[in-house]
Amino acid sequence: MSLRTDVLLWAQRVIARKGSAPHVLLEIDEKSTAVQVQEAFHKIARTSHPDLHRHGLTPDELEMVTSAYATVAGAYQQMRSAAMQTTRIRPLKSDDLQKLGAPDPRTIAPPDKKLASGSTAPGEVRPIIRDDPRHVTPPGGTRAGSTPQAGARVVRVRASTDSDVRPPKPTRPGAGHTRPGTGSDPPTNAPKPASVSATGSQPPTGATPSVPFTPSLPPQTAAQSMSSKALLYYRKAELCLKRGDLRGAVLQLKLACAADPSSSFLRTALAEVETEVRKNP
Amino acid sequence: MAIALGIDLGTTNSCAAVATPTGVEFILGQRAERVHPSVVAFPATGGVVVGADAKRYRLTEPHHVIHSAKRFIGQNIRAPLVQLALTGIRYKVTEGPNQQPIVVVRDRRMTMPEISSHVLLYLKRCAERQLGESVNDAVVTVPANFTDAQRQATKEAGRLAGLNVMRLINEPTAAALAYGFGRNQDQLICVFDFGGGTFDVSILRINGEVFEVLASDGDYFLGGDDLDRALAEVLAAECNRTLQFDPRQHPVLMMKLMMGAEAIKCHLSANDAAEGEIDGIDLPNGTTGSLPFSLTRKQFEDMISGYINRTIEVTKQVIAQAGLLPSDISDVLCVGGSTRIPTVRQRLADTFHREPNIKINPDEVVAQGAAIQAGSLSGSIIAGTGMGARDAVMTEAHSPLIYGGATIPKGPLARPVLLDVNPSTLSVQTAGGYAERLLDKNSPIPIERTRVFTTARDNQTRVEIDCCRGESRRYTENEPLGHLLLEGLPPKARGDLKIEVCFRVDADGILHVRASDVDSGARQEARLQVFGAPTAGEGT
Repeated sequence: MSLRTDVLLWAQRVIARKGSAPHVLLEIDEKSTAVQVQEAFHKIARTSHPDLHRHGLTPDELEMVTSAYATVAGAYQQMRSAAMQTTRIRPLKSDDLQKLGAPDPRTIAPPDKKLASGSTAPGEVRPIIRDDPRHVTPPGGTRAGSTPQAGARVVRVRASTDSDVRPPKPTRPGAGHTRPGTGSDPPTNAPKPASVSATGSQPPTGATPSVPFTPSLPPQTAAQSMSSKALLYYRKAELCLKRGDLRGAVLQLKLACAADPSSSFLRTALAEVETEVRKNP
Repeated sequence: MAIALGIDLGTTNSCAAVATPTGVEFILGQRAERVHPSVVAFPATGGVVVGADAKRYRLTEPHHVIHSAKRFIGQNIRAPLVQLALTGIRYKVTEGPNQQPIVVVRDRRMTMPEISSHVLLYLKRCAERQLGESVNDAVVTVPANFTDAQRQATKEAGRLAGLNVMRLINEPTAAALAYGFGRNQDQLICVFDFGGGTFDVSILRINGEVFEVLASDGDYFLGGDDLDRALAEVLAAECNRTLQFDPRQHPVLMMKLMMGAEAIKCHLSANDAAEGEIDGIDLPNGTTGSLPFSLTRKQFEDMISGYINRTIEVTKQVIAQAGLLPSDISDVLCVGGSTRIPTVRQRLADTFHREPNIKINPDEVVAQGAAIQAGSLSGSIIAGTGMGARDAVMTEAHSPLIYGGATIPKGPLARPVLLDVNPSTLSVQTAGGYAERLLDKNSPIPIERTRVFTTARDNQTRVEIDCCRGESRRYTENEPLGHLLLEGLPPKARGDLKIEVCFRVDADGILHVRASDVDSGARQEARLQVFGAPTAGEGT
């Protein structure tokens, strides 16, 4: 009967691909939505669930089908839990911004308005959902980007595919990533406008040299318009702004201006912050 | 075609059914009752009495009547909840080998599976008498959150009763099957199973003939018994106050109060107030007194509100685990006798903003689902056994088609496919005392997952793999399941050896663990030793 051959062929196919990525085992596209994944698994269950073949197969064949089905179930669970973690979003509330440590809207309003009119940041919503604000670190740490959840997820995926796994180390740096302090410090990374613009728009799982949440200024514009040393001071100024330390920000911005006197962007920013300081002594 | 029985082996009551072409036929007891108390009595006259007859011995010989055996089956007697449950029973339980509870009755020592096997055997004999054929196969239901050891113990009980347990299915899933089979709809339902001793909630998606459990959780020490006990304690205090006599030291009297409490509870489900007397209370001065009582439904609801709050809390958690909102659920099934309590239904209606489905019989629906699954697995004719057949508009799907053997028709009413889940996260212990997760809670079963581990020290020649269940990242905070030992490994530097650990949960929800050394030509395999399992020697 064709049903019998169908399921046996399917089981052989799955067992041959054992260990490959979940979407390969489910025979669907990698970017399938949660609903598509569920439908695909239901389709497999309808034809290949071992319970449906208790009477048609020999014990060995049934064992093979059961094993294949169990493997596919594992793949389904992996895809489903990944989908559960990424698809949930909720409306942004005002207290989210405060949790992020964003400066008082009044403080940053002037530069924000000015620059936002020029280039609206495309990934403005994304960092709020993905970044864990409590783990924003100063621009030295390479680990800054990975949030605890993202880190755990990466480790889990790695462990199943990697061969030499020691799972309880959640913060193992990936191969090719430099440790903080050993190789490139962020300022030398930063000057290349291309690299900054690339990392700035990426999700934070990579070794992004701390492009923390920048509420006021899109990083591309900032990076392109100043030298590397000035960018370092500028980042420090941003951190000061986040803390609400306006005077510190003025100092850092002054240093930045000294490092790159030609940048009109920095001068504008300095002027804006200084106005703010004068408004709120 | 062999007859396969579907058995709902409950804490207080059991029920059995068999699927026939025209519908589900329930197995009747000697007085034509469909529901059989899960009570086993060992009377002074000898022999074993099961069911409604055994219940009558509760007053005369409370020490020799074994009830609520399901609360102890496959349990570690040292677990705190088990110790708590032991205070509520009148028969004697001691610790046996492998820390399992042993019942001592009339100098006989019996394991919990043996007690349960008496109930199963009784049901089997009733079925054989009714059907006129020998019955060997069965599908037995268990609470969704039963552990590995509890499932194995239940299977063992079936084996002792001479039944081939084809499958253990979860009670909420069985109820959903009975409800949705033949309905041919795509819907999300919630099964709220509040029985005599256990409480379960499952969220299912019914997609045609596929029944997928999305999330499941519960509490196996929460049920109608607890409500009875809460009420009995109040009655005992009342007795102490009016008759100046504390019945809590007297097992017979406490049992009498428990029975009275159960009757009051049932009465209050239909009426607003209960008033009466509990007679036959033997006072220490030789006379017999009676305890008058007067309770309103409101008073009773206040007494049990703590338990009800817990059930609603778990229900909300499960909905969140499934990634849904209460408004996504299109039907709420009430399963188990305790869902007859009006306040339970009211709270459910408040939670889901819709009335729960009360068209199903809460005592029988689980056995019905088990019978459908048993019929499906044994290849019997099962069209028209689900409730969908009754409720749905008649279509060609409900014509008396015959589905036999491996020929599965392409029509809309194929065999049901149950996609059940494992109830808790399964992990192994890794260096540093962490629990490394292999199988997540609520993953579909049967499922298989392989992970590669390595050694923590140089020249390590043996590794011990400890398995546990639970959600904590620390091994010690989880419930240990058992361990396996892999020996004779080639000495290598740490990190060089690859140890493949494969977790497989079969369709019964029982875990099988396999560990092997990847590189060595001869694969070394070890099997899991389960703590608390009744057959410790056999492994899985």
